Amino acid sequence: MSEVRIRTESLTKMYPGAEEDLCAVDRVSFECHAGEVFGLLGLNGAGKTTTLRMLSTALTPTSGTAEICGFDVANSSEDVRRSIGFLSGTTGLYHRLTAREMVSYFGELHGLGGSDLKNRVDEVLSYFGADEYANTRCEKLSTGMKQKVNIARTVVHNPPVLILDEPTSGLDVLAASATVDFVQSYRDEGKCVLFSTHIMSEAERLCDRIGIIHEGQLRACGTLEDLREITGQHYLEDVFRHFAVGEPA
Amino acid sequence: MSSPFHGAWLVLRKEIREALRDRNLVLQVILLPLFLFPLMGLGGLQVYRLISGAEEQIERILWIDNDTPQSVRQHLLEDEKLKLIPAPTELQADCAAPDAERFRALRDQADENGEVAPVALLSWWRSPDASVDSVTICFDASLDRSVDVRDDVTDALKTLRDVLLTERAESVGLSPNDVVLWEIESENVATSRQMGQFILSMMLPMFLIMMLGNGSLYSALDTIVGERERGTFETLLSSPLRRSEIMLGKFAFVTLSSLVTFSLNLFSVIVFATFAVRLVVPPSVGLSFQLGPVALLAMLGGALLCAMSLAALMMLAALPANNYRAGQAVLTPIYMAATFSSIAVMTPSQGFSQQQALIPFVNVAALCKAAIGGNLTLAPAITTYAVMAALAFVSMFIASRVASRDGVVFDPDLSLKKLLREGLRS
Repeated sequence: MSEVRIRTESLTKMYPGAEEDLCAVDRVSFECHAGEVFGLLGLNGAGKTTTLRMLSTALTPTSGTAEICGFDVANSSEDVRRSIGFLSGTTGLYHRLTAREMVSYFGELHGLGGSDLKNRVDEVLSYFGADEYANTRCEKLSTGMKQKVNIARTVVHNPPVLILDEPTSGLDVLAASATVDFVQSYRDEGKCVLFSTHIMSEAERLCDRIGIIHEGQLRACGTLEDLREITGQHYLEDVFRHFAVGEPA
Repeated sequence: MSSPFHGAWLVLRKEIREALRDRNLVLQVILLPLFLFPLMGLGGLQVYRLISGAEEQIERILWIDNDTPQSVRQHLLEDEKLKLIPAPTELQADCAAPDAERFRALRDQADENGEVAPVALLSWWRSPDASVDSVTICFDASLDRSVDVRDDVTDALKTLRDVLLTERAESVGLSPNDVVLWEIESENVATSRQMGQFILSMMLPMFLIMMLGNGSLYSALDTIVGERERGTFETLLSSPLRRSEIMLGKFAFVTLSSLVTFSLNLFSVIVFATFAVRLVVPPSVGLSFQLGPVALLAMLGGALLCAMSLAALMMLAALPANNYRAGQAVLTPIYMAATFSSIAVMTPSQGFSQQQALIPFVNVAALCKAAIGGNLTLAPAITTYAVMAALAFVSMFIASRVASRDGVVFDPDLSLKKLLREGLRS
């Protein structure tokens, strides 16, 4: 088995409520490895986004631990953030910056500078075919162009771990397809990709292993074949329903 | 990161670059403070000229009693704008003061009939038991023209009385000095610069505080609420920067915007005041608008601390706002409170006291006023700097603590009260 890049153990997040606390993520444990796409599958509100936000250090776990590249998210948050590229479906761009400025800014935030920064920005923009509109302000870009710039921004520092929270949400077919292609190519470079989605076809196409999360709990975790074998179902949608709702197909 | 401030600098640089491309922000932070006074002033000058031009065209009518001596009439007729018309019979007073109510009624009646109404009545009468004549002037204090006529007629009568006294003294072989005991003269010892400082100190502090608030309000909205609305806050939080670095960069941006607005407005006021004064004030009056280096430094020091306090307070208040409208709703009261509190120092007799120096924003307005007027004293100035520095530090500390709270970006039901409670507890 290749190197573990993400490890969570009993990761829990409680939100204080008026009458009782809400458990958004309940003792979730899983591992992701280098050269692997791990899909976190769940309905809206299942706890996927909260889990990913804890891994990106935007939220603090209530209990449990999580490590990325060996760094604890609670105690070494800066090292964790240096090791990840984080992208969510709701992530926006700075409208008044150009595509190049946007990518350069995040490169600088990750410690790149000088010719290294320039070369890397040129490289990623070119990789995504964004060099044609590199000097156009983000507010003037189409949805697909924006998504490419956003992905370029996410990987400008060449992170070993990529965390994508429903990255194809709201995208048209071509833009979504380009995103999926990119995830595959990034995995092929030996990087670790943690990918949350509620679109079964995407998970089926992309993920080496799948975790099914429901009501904050990780109900199942394994390869698609493992899950098929356990449930006796062929289609991922049926597998998901089996674990999430307990309904047979 | 090479230094703890490097991340803050990157955030600041990005914010400046974005701000310079935002038409709304450029308008509020650069163009408005530069052109507000010239536009307001030129508009005011035009209105003033129109009104004064129109006033000069209007003939001022004085109803005059038939008993008024011819010498007095001759003297009053020297005023070309004044037209003397015999008072109506009802107002002719022989041995009693005229009925002021009656004058008002007749004047209003003339006005309603479309006639040119008189603005004042000069009544000459003598009480049966009196040895000298009395003069009563009925006028309307709500009309500038009427007040002017009252003043002109009073001056004319006093001058004429002195002339007649002198003539009578000479006619009985006395020297004029025997009846005119003294001459009263007064001279303004204020230099033209001091006069300019006095005028500036009346109006400038409030506008400067207003401009500081203006600069910080729009930039705080953009850098905090705009970041959340665009969906870039989460992205920024996933970068290696610490939240304190992000907040420091944004704080520096809001403070800088506020100071730029202040400085441009100050520059604009002084340039415009110097230019406008030549248009309206006769050279004999002499007004000069210059600020010495000490006054400028004192004001800039106060403005810097005021800008820092406003920036921290506005960022703190903007943190829970989910959109621009919600942001404006919470930031506008801070802006209004700062601006209106500075009105308290606008009265001419207000000095710069230690009590004033303890009240945030009022103290900076009072410091600016004292600095412009050349009356700056050290103790209240130091107190002002200490109070504003403490306010800026405490506000920034709370804002930084609050910003480190988990839900600051993701909680849709956030309120400032909830943020403060949980942020401070953490």
